[in-house]
Amino acid sequence: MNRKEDLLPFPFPSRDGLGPLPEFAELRRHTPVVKVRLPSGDTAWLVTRHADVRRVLADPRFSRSRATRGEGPRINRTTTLPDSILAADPPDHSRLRKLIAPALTGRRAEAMRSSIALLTDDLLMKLARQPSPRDLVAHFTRPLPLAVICDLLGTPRVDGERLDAWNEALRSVTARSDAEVTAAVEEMTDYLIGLIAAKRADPAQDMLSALIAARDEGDQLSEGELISFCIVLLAGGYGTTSNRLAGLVHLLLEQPERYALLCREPALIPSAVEELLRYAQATLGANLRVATEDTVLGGVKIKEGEAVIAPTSSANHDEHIYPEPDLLDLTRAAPSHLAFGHGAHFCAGAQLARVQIQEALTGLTRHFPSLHAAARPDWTSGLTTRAPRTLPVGW
Amino acid sequence: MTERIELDRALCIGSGLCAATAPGHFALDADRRSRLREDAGAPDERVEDAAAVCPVEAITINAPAV
Repeated sequence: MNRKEDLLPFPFPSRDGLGPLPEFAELRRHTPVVKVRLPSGDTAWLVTRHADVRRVLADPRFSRSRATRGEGPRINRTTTLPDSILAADPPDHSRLRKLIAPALTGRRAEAMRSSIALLTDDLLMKLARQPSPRDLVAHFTRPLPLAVICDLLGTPRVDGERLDAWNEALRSVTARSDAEVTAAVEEMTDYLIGLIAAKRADPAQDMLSALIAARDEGDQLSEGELISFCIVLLAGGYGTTSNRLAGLVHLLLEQPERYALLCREPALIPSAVEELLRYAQATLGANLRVATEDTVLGGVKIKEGEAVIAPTSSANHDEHIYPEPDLLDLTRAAPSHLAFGHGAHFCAGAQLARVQIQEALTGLTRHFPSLHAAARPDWTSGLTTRAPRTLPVGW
Repeated sequence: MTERIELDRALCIGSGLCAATAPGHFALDADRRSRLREDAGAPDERVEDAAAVCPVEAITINAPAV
């Protein structure tokens, strides 16, 4: 039997930056399926190899619903958003996913490319008129995704700072107390109830109007699901996208020859984005899954009711899949990676995020060929993800 | 006469959504692209779900040819 003190605590300590965590590499080599202790005190099986991570994420026997409803192992004692799409399994998940999927296809994302390029140009021209150095997070990597998701949802371009505080609470592992997380979710809920009421009174051709119509006319989701959906769309569309964008720019500036390469060869940007996404270990953990039946994973018996955690950050550095995984090689031929997840919960906004990041890097390298880090970024800590809170840059 | 499932593997990005949504019909290959399972039956609601949620619209369900 494992005594409490014998188990590895998870998540592993956060370090500033997005480089590979040595703990994952060690586990992939020697103990690819290992029992860990979560902040709640519960245990889970941590899987670190690419094949096992993919299996957990796509196999319906590893349930998100079981990890969020009823009794069972949890990462933290408070479960946030139990009626969100992130907590549902197919076919219930499909009912919710179908409501937004048509607006977020690769084709629709491509159709938004030119307006995203215009937004990018506008923000960067404004930044260029300011004295150097400036914080790229405040002036670019936050406002761009905020404008894109607000326009898509059809909501006013809301106060980014308020959203940032809520987003951090939603991603908290140890940064906030359970009571603070609950309070933030309540505040965000109240705020969205207001937005939804305004949109109900004045519908338009946008995603929020479509979701409200699905609720009011089609009865395809509950009011609670509608609110949770909006929280997830804002947290993902804004929070995750702005965090990733800032992180990827940091990786480019951390070694100036990386940024210089993309300035010289902008045609590399689409594949370089995929390599940056693969390399960046922005997520430190993963949403918990619970096994719905006894199964074997990576040679280890998993019992029904036990929790499994499958971090894509580790899978993206699996030596069996990527030669020299810890090398960030911008000329690597567009590696296929799991940075957008896999299976039912594959990021709904992946195609839109790709277009945004590609356009953001295209605009940055064109407007600011001499962009450089002006000081060390300030990093988030105690969250499920890592991102620069600030990115001081000069030009 | 049954409906036919068409899967455009050239469009597939290997998201795994179809395999997780309709595991009786779709699986991922070693090259991480989706394929129709050999034992897949006629399309059902889950296949319709998979077609609807595919991020690159690679799955279509065709009416039987006349």
